[in-house]
Amino acid sequence: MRGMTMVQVDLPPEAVEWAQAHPDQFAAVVLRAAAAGGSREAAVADLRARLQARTPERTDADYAGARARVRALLARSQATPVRPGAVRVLALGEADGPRLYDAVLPE
Amino acid sequence: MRLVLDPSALVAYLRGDVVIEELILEVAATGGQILLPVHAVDEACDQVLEDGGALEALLAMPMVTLLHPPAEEAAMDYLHRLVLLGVSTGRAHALAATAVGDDLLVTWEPDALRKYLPADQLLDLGDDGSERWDLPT
Repeated sequence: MRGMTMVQVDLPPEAVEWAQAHPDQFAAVVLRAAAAGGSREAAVADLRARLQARTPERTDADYAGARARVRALLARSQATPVRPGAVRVLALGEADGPRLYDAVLPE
Repeated sequence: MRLVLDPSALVAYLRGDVVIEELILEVAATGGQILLPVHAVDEACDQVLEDGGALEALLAMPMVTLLHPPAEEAAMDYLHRLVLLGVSTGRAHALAATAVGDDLLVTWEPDALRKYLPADQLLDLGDDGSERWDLPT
């Protein structure tokens, strides 16, 4: 339909409940998505541009290196099954590099 | 994939750490979700007064959800029990919001959970040399 923007909103179940309970806030989220062009790619590009604007001293190599590390981390996590009943934790601030924990939290 | 950011991860993001920025961007770009427990946001904002608009930019993302404290009594009780263990309210909210087996809780604090949990409740996949992540620097 002319003059309309289609927006796809992916909602996990708890977010559906939240959206039903907070229709005004949900509408604001949808409007933000529409303002970003309605696409995930546009929203990501917008955030990247805003973050890079606050650190102009960084080089493309800085970003590429960090992106490679992140992709390795995520691949590593996804390749390792989570311990049954545990929460997967990614600790990035370890002195000797990132560390992955599976933690069984108290009942 | 869903990322849940604890207060220390949010502080790192607000202070401009490039790895946490790229982690958020990568998950957002590949169809994932980023969950921000509101108590974690409160704690992080207490520590970082000027973020160059980073929090506002993050909250504007359609794949970012600000999580309010759980309304269910059992969930609130669980959050309070974590606080009684010595976990900060923000981290307790992040832990309580992390789904077992599905989500990835991101923290910046070394040994984030070791001080709260008995050793037999932690499986450290990084202890064994073969499991240690060998990352490009």
